[in-house]
Amino acid sequence: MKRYHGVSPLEQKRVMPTWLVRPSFVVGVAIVILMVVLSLFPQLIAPYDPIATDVTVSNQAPSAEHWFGTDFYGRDIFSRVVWGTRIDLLIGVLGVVIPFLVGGMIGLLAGYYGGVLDSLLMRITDIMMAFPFTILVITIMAILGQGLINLFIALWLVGWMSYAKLVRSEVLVLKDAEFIQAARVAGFSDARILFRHLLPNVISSAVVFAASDVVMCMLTGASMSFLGLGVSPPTPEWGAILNEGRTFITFAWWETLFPGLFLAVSGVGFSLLGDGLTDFLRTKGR
Amino acid sequence: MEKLLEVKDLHVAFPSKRETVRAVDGVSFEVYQGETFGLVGESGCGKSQTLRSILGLLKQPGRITGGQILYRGADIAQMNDRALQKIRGKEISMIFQEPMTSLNPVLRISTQMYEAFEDEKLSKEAKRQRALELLRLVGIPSPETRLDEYPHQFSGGMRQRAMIAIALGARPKLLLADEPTTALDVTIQDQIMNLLDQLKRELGMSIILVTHDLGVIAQMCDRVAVMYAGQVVEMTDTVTLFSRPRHPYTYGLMGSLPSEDSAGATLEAIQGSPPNLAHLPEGCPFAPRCRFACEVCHKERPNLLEVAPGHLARCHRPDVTEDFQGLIQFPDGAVREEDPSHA
Amino acid sequence: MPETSSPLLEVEHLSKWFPQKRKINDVIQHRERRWLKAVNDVSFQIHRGENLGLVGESGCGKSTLARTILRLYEPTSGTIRLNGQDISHMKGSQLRALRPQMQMIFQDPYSSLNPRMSVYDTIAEMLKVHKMVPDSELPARVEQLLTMSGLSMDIADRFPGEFSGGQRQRIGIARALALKPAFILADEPVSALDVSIQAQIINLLAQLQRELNLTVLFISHDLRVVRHITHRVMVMYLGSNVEVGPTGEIFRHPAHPYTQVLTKAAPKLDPLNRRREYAIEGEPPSPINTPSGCKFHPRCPYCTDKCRQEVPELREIAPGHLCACHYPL
Repeated sequence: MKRYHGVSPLEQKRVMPTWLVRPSFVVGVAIVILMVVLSLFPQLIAPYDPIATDVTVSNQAPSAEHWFGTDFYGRDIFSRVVWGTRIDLLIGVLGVVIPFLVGGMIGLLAGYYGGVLDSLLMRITDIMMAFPFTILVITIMAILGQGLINLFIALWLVGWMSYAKLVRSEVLVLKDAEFIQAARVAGFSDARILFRHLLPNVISSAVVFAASDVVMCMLTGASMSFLGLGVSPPTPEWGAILNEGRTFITFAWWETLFPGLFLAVSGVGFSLLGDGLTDFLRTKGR
Repeated sequence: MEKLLEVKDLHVAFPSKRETVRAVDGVSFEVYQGETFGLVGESGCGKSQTLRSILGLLKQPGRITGGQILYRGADIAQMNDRALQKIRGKEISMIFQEPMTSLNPVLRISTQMYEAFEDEKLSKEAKRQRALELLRLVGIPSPETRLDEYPHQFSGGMRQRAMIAIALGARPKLLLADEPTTALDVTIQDQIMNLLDQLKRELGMSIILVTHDLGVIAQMCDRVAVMYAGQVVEMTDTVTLFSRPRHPYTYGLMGSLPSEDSAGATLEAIQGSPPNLAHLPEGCPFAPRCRFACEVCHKERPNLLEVAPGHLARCHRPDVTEDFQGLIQFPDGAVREEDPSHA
Repeated sequence: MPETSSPLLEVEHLSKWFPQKRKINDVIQHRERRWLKAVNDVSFQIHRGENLGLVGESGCGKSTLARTILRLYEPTSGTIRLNGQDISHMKGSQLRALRPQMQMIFQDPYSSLNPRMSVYDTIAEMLKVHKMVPDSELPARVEQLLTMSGLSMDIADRFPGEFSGGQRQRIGIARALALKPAFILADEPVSALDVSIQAQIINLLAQLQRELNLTVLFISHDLRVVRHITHRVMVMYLGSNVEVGPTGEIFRHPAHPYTQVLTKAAPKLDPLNRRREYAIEGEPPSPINTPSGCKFHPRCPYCTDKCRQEVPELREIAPGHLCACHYPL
């Protein structure tokens, strides 16, 4: 039998918002905010048109005019990288939001009602999850063809399963908790129990996973472009810029370094955000 | 009789970034050979931490911040892990509340039992015989088959018995029991209590029993220390405690228990809840809940006073506590048969 | 004990069996599906304003019985009547409309409150969903409920994580009372609490029961608490009701050998009066393979051949005192 000891309310009262005292979380938030700003106002930050070519300045090293140098067509790498933020962030966020909503919903229903629906869904996810994420996306892209829309479809088709699994496992733990029984005894409708009582308590791990999944989607999007399966040139996208610079890597390092660096930093940003969210969501309310 | 263990002014703290919780705050007691010593109190009073610190089993980040734990004269509070290994399980053993989590689920009972006497370099057959003997001792039926089973094949009561058998493997002189019957049903609790008592007599060992249940104390212990907010507030032999409690907290606990003729009446509950150990009040920690608290109680911490021979109480108001009536009548001219401190 | 009229809750021959998973082997060998008979043919009544205690060891089916009465489970057979209305197989909106009449107080004050809802929301939600009071009167009613449970409105905006076990249990009580239920099922409401807090909650429950004339089914394994708070007691063993009668009489003169064992096993608060023998040997058998005849016979000191073969009926041995034993003590 469990026994509990009294904790005075004072002890648990928070003086400062918890997230402010974690430096890594603050760094993550800062990076993500910076990315959002870059993607919202690239025209204000980028000095050049990202797709305007100028053969007179082909493959130039970083200088005062071109901070990150230029590529083979004389396009300003800095401007391309800044404009690229918009597409990469879009891939990351849109590639996660839909699977998060759909997968979370499926997990919630499958976990709560169980039965045939549950077994069916779980077998499907078991089979699909046996294949590596990237391989699945490549396969789907190969079938659908190149393009941003098709990339999204591929990410959506593959992405929902992790959310469904995550949410389902949490629901299975909590659906027999006494407060859920209490809600049933209170005569609440299934919809109310699912969305008001169960959902807020099972969603945190999915939220945390989503933050790191954004990185995964961005990287997958970039790799698809790198493989020539993602966005079509000359659209500025980090993976595409990397791919174009690859030919000249022996003498024009700046063409691959800077988009790669942006990709890495934004990845770190979202990871830190995810880690911080874990702590934040855990302390709250429990 | 021989003094087996002496805890002197023990302090245990759980430091954290924001505050330090003083879980055990100057606890002293002695345990004699062959006696059962009870530590009773509510959750968070420090009884389990006191017990755990004896074997150096405090959970992180807890540590002993002061005091001595003398086992046959040697201070085990100062010992490193290697020196403690020589004592753990051999001289002093421990059993826990949850037999489910304190037995290793992937090892057979036999394997877990052999570990207790692996130092003795016995032959395989000798080990098995010894293990069977122990299982018989703790009353496990058909021990020959049970020995090769896994913990999950045992029921709750059987698991607790198996755990006791493992703890007794190296014939310890002292058994630490942390709420050994709390997770069990009444009939099983009754069996385990009687088993521990019988083993104590047969093997001549001492037991320190930690519990929140005054009933278990009454049935098993020779002497008792009542703990509140990390301190011993009262200590005496069991009969005296139940007949003449001398601390308002002990008195309050006894009043909180429903009795045979309390039906329909209102229980004399202690108001409020236990204090936060990180922010203890200035005076007596029990004062905010105490019916008899006066000015001095809210200002000064009371000391442990000898209110009667062999009876210690930590209260500013011995004049008031003198009139307390316990749950039983004090036996006139009765000899305290099992009080080793007077033997 | 209130001398009353018609019973509020009537349970007749109620059973709840859970199917056991059949292994592939069992299917091939055409072995029959096995059932865990958690509750088997239980009958009893609770009168208005009465507090009926339900005792028994873990696995005896008391929690399953409680959850079946509250219709969290569908009964396998038998009937449950609340206020004369058969609720045994009600479903959907009909069942939801009936919910306010019977509420529950849970054992674990830590898991019985939604950690992400404030105290106010927890209680107000009950009132809103069942349209108990107009929105404008919500705060006043919540305050009234909190006060009734010994809390104050100051805590309404806080979350369950900020409270101690005793305070949480009070919140749980306020929530259960919000819908003005006639029947309250209290499932081990004090067993997770410390002794000093336990007494506070027992006092509160007893007082509320008197003031609101509640009908209570009080489940507990703690015989001292049951003896203190209930009017009548029912004892369960392996899914069956073995004895039921007035609390005082059951404790003074237990008629069923198992009841006698239970009262003996509870540790007495008297160090001068120690028992040095077991109240009973062994442990209850699994509810999947229950013994023939009287289920208690393998452990009963008074067992005869009749006990091994014939299932004893629950019959009256004194006014209001029923016992399922061939040879009541």
